[in-house]
Amino acid sequence: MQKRTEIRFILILTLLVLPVISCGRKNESTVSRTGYFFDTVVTLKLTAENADSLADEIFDMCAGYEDIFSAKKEGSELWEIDHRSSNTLQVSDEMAELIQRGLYYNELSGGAFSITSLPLSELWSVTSDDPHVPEGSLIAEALESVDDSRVHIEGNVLSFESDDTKIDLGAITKGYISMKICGFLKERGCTSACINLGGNVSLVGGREDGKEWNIGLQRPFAARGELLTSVKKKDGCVISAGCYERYFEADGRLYHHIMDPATGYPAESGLNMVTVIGDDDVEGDALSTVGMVLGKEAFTELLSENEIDVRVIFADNENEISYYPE
Amino acid sequence: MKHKIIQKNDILLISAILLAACFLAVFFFAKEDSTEGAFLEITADGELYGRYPLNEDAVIDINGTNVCEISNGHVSMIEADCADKSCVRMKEISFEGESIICLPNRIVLKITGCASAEEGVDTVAG
Repeated sequence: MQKRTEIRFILILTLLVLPVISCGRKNESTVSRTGYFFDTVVTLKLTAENADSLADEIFDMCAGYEDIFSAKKEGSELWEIDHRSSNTLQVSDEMAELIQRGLYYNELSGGAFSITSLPLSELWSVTSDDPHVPEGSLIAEALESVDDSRVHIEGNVLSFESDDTKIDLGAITKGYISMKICGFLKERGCTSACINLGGNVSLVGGREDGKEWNIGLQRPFAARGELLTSVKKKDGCVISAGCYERYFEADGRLYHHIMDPATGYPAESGLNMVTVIGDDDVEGDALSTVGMVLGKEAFTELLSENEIDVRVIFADNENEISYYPE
Repeated sequence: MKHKIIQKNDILLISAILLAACFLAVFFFAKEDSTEGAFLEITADGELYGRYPLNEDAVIDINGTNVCEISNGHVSMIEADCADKSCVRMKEISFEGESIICLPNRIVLKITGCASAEEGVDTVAG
C-alpha cells in the first residue's frame, strides 16, 4: 500500500515539475526601446529579470552623459570647458577618462584622430542649413588651433596651453557611453543585450536564444536599412564611421563631416565607410574615424604594427568591400 | 487482495494531467504564433505608437504629423509636415530591421518580428 502511494506521488511530482523546468526562464523578459539623445536615435533590446527598469536606467544614463559630453548643449561640462575663463580646470572622472583616451588615440594615429578639431568642424558646419566650402585662409586659421599636444590631463586637472583650443569628443563619446551601458548591464546580471547608439552597435552576450547577434552594416548612400553586408557576433562592438551620414555637395564634390586634421578638409582616403569589430567601444569609435582619415593602407599598417586586435570592414568609394585581417 | 502498483484511478489521473498539459501547450504555442509574422512597429518620441501586421494594407496617421502606408507588405512614409521630408524620400522597407526615421518629428517606422528571423538582422550599424 505504502509503496503504491510513493510511486503515485513521484509520478504526479514529475508531471508537475516538468513544465516548471521547461519554463525555467519565466522571470526573464525582453524589452525593446527607442529614444533620442545627442541628436541620434538610440535603440536597445535586452533580456533580463527586470528588463524594464534596466531600460529606464539606461536612458537616464544617456541623459546624464549628454550633460557631460555634449559640445552643443549650453551648460554641459564640455561646453563649460570650451567657454572657460581659466586654462586650468577641475573636471569630472568621466571627462578626465575620455580626454585621456582621446589623447591616446591622437598620439597612436599620428594626429589623424584629434579631440581639438572643433574650430575646424564649426567652420565647415557640414550639418548647417546652408553649408559651403570655407575660404582657404579661414581653414588655415582654424587649423592653427587644432593641436592636441596643447591639452594636458593629469588626474582630474585639465590644462590648456592656449586660449583658443577647444575640445570636441564627439568621435568617441558614443563609444564611451555604450561601453558604460554594457558594463552596467553585465553588473546587473543581464546576459543578452543589443544597444544601437546612433549607428554604434554594442553587445552583451548573444541573442536571447543564445545564438550570435546578426548585425547589418548600412550600405553607404543607400536607403536606411539597406545592407552592405552583415556580421555575426556575441559581445563586443560593431562601429562604423562613414562619409555618407553627414555631408553636403558643392560643385559636384562631396564634403563630409570627418575632418582630416592634416589638411583642414574632409578626409579623402578613397573610403565610404570603415567598420571596426572589436571588444572596446571607445577604441572602435576612435579607430573607425582614424581609418576614414588615413585610408586603408596606412590604417591597416597602423593596426598590425601596434598589434591591435580588431577586425575591420572597408567599403571603398564604389562600396567594394575588403577586410582586415584579409 | 494484492494491490496492483498502478490502478485504474492512477491512469485516469495521469491522463487528466497529460490532457491539461496538452491544452496548456496549445495555448502557449497559439500565443507565440500571434506574435510571429512581420509587423510594422511605429514609435513616436520613444513611445510605442502602434504595431500593424504587414499583411494588411493600411494608411496610418501618426500624431497628425506623418502618414505612412502599408502596401503589399512594403512600408513607406507618404506624408510628413517637417521641412526636410527626408523620411518621405527614403526607400520603402519590408525586411526585418529596416527602418524609416523622421528625426524632426521623432518617429521611427521599423519592421519587426519576421517569421524568418534568421535572415533578418537584429540591428543596423553605420
